[in-house]
Amino acid sequence: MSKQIDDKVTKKVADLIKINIPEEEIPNYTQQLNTVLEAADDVSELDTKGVEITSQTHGLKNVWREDEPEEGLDMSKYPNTQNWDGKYFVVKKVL
Amino acid sequence: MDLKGKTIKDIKASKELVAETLASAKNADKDINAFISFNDDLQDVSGKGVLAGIPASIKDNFNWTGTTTTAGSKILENYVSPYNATVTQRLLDAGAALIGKTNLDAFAHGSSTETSDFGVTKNPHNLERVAGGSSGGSAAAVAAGMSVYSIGSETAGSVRGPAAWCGVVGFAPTFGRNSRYGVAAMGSSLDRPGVLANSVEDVALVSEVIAGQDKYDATSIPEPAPKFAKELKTINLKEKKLKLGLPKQFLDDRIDKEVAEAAMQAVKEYEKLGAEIVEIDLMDPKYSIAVYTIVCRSEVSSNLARIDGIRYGYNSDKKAETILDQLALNRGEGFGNEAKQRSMTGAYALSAGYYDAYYKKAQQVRTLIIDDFKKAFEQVDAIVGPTMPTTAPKIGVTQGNPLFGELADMLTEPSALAGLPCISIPVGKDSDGLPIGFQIFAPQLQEQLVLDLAYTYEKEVGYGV
Repeated sequence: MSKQIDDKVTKKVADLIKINIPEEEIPNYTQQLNTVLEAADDVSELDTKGVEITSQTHGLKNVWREDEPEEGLDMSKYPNTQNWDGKYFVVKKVL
Repeated sequence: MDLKGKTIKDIKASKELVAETLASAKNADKDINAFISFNDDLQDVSGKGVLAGIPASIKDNFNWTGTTTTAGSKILENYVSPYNATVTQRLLDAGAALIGKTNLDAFAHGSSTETSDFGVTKNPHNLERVAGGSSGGSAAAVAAGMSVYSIGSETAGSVRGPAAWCGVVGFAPTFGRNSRYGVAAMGSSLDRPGVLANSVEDVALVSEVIAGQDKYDATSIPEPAPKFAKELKTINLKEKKLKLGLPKQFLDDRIDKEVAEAAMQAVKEYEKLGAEIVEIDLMDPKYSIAVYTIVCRSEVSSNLARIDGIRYGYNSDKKAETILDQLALNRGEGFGNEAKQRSMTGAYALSAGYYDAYYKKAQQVRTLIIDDFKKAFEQVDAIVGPTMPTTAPKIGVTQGNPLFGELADMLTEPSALAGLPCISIPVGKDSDGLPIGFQIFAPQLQEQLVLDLAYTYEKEVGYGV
C-alpha cells in the first residue's frame, strides 16, 4: 500500500469496469485516485489479526423466503427505452 | 400559506394546500434548485391516511411509478420508474402528497449536491452556500418552506449533514429498519432511507409510516418497528439517570470553533435537564473516513455496474466496435466525474492483489469501530456531538477535492458504519447566520431513545426552526 498508482493502472481499472475515459483525462483520474487511496491507507495502521470482517451490521445471515411466482413488471407501460419492441430490447448493431 | 418552519400540527392539511405549495415551490425553486422534477399533474395526491394533504417531497433516488428517477445523474435522466420503492409505496398508502422529487449528489455520491448533474442546491439560509448532501434538495425544500417533510437517504451523513446545514431535523434509523428496495443503490451495507422535517414529532410520524421489514429487501430487519410517534415523549433525564457520551474526538481542533461551542452549549442544556455527561474516548474518525472510503466505493463500483445504457439510461451516439465498447461509451459519457472516480477506486480496492489490503482490511476495521461503540455503550446510553465539523461552506467547495464528502462527514461516518440510529437537530447559528446541527445516536434498534432525547431538547429548550 501507499504506493502511488500511475496512468497505466488507471486505464486498466477503467477498462475493467467498462468506463470509457478519453486519454487526456486519465492523468486527472490518476491524481484523484491517489488522493482517495492515500486516505484509505489509514486502515493499514491498525492491527486486525484475528478480527472478523463485518459485511452486515445487524448480523443477518441467509435470509430465505418462499420461491413463489409473482407477477413481474409490465414493461409495456414504462419500457424506459425507445428500443423496446414489445418483447425485446433492441440494441445497436455492433458488427 | 408560508410553510417555513411549520410542522404537521401547524397546518391545515388539504389538497388545496398541496396545490398551492406546488405552485409556490416552483417559483421559490428558481433560486434554490431543491427539486429535479415537480409533480405537475398532482399524481397520487388524493389519497387518504395520516399523511394526506401535507405537502411533502422525496429524494430523486426513490422509485415512484411513472415519475423520472434520475438519482441526480445524466445517465438516468430519462429513466421512468416502472415500480414504487417500498418507502414510496408506504408513503402513498398513508396518503402522502408528494409535490416533487428532490435534488441530490449524483447517485448520492457527495455531501454538497455539487456532484448533481442538475446543478447545485443552494442553502435557503444563504444562497452562496451549499445546502449539503446528498439529501440537500430535501433539506433545502423543508428549510425553504417547500415541503413540511421530505424523504432522504443516508449512506454516511446524507440525511444528518444537510439537515444540520439547513437548520432542520434529520433522522435515520437503524440500518435495515427502512427498506432499501427501489432506492438507487449506493453502498448496500450502508444505505438507509431517512426523514427530514421541522420537528422531531414529524420525523417520528413519517418514520413510523415507512419503517418495518420488507420482503423485497433481504437486509431489512425482522424486529417490529416501534410506533415512533405514538411512543414519543420527553424524558426526565435525572430520574432515568441517563448518561450521554461526549467523544473528545468530536470536539478537537478539526472542528470549527463556533460549531464546537454551539455543541457544548447543547450539551450543557442536557446537563441542566439532568443528564450525566461522560467524556468518552472513541477511535479517531480518520479510521472511519478510511473504512468508509473503501467499503462504500467498493459497493458503489458493484452497484453501478448494472447501469449500462442498454435497457434504459443514456445511450451514446458514437459507433462502437463491440457490445462491450458500447457499454464503455455509454458509461463513460453518461456518468459524471464523481461516479467514475468512485467506481474506479472501488474496483481497484476489490481487485486481485489489493482485496486483502483494502477491502478485507476495511471490513475488519469496521468490526473494530463497531466494537469501539459497543464498549462506549457499556458506559453511556447515547452519544452526542456536533453533526458536521463546519457550517455550510461556499458553493464551489468541492472543486478539486475528491474527498470532500468523506471529510465533511467525518463525524457521521463512524455511526453510519455501525448502522446506528441517529438524529440531527438544529442548535443555533454561527456568526454568519448559518445553522449548526447537533447529533444524537444510540445502539441499534434504540430509535425511540434517540427520538425521545431529541424531543426532550425540542420541548424543553427549543430551537426556533
